[in-house]
Amino acid sequence: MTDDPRTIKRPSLIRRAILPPAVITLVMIVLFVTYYTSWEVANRSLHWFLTDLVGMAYGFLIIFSVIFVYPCMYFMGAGSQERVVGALIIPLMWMAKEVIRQCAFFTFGESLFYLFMPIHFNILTISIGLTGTCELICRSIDRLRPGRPQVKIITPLPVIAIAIMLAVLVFTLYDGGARYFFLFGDIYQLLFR
Amino acid sequence: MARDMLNTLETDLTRRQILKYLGGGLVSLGLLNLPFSKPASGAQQRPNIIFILSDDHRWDMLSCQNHPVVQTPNMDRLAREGVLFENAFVTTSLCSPSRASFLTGQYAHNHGVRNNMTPWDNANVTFLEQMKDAGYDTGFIGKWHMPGRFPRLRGVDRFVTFTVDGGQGRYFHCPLIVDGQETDSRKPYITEELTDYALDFISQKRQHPFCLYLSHKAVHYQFIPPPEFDRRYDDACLPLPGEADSWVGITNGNLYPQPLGALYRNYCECLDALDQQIGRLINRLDEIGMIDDTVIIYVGDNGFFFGEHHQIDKRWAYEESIRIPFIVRYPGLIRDPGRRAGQMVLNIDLAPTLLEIAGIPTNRDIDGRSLVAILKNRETPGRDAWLYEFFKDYPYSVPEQFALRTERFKYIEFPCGRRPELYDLVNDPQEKHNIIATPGGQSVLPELKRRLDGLKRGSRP
Repeated sequence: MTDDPRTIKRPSLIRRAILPPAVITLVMIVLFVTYYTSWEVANRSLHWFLTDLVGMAYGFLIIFSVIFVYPCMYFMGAGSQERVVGALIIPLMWMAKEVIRQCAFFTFGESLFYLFMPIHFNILTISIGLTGTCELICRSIDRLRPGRPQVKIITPLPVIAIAIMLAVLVFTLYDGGARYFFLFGDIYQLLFR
Repeated sequence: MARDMLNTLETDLTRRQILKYLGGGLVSLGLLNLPFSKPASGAQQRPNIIFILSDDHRWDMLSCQNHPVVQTPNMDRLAREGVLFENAFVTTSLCSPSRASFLTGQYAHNHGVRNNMTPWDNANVTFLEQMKDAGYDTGFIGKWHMPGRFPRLRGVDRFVTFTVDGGQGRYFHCPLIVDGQETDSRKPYITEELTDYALDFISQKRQHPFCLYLSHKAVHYQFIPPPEFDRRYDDACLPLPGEADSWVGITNGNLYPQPLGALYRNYCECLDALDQQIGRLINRLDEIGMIDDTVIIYVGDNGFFFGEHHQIDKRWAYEESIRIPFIVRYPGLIRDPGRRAGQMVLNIDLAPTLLEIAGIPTNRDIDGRSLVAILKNRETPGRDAWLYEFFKDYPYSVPEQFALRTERFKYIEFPCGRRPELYDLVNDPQEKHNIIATPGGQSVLPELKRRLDGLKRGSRP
């Protein structure tokens, strides 16, 4: 183990597990504020530039923040649980925001069930699947580094995470997501009506 | 028939049976020639009726409304040869409640379909039922889309609809239910398929006038045009509103996962395809010489946001959401074709209008008003205020709201505690400046609140 370059001098908890998600969270906050502030920009060209560019970046990060956070944490020496939790912070925070927003209109139970809407459910499963994908990619890179031939690339958990992502995506996006949406509505009526 | 009546009198009479026998008795006694029940046209023969309902068609997306992209020559023709109501609205901007309002002439709080999840009550009386009782051949073809079990729709001779995907149907290869039987689609594209059924219905030889309710899936999301219209506007410059952005708050509850421009382009193409099919219907009426004996009404079930107020879709009480295209063509009644009528008219006005045109007394609780007087005479005054209502519709994050819409002001209340809004529609037609806290706003607010409270209590708009 002493040959492991990640463990010879393990960075502090703040550096390996808090800093990467904190940086990406800060970027998200900046994008969030810029996006909603840009609605008020009177200059039409600037308005469109900001909303399009920032809106796209904001949406992209909600769905794909894992691909930035997870590898950083991996190579900074964060443990596997730390990596998964840290990488899922952005999507989880966004979902929490959505539940809070829904609570203004619906009961808490209904607001929680809102997370099974295709867009939210897919974001969560994509994020989980991406943790698995990133893990495999990081291991592949790690194995190429000097002194790391023992790194095993394929293990069950990342593969299961990827399989879950693909299964959910196929299930929820089949027929453009329409059937899943109506199934969601039917289950809602069973539970709350 | 007399024997049937005697048998029935020995049992409990239902409301429908009473209406049926009263109607039949009136016809047989020739009483329909009495002034109170004369067809509004004054003609001896009652006209045929075709009511065409589209889905999510904005009021301003017609060529004749100077829209720079869409091409709607057939809807334009109806407007040119009839009356285009420029201030037409829905009382609830949502598919199911609005459709129930068209059918019953009632507000959502009266017919009970408050949102897309509250079921249709089979006790509701539709204008089709009354038309049938008065001797019309009736057809319902197209989108039903109301919650609950498959309806027991009384008084409909031909019932073609679909239930797949929560009643939304599919643009391609949509399985149908034809008079209760599950049936495969005959044509791949739904708008053409429904039009074919409509053409079959109006082309039948018959003894009686017909009343057709033709309700299209188009132009609802997912806005999928047929192949010949697909990509028609790929290079078009799309007139999106200034406050729009490509994602219109996709991160803030917008459930449409495509950029706004792509949605808008597909919507335009889908609308052109719908217009083409309406043209087929009009042309057939021309061919069989029935066009001037037929009342043709074209409307949308609600409006649609394309970025205004940072919204997409509908539900809110803002103008883009509540305004609809509303065109009536009937030369037997309209003496000044091509007129743009400015009176405020509502979806709940359809049923009483059709009943009056057909000479059928409106003997039940209808919230709307007949538009016949306005169709006949441009000087007829319209209503000066009306109630808009929206009830919660899971999972859409739009608050419950009630609004009073006058010719000048719109006052919106939100029971959830959100700050109320007041707009001066003359000086601020895009509703960007809430004047509720201004001296001007405060001066008109008490009267607007009083009127809104009155309408919510049930007084007639």
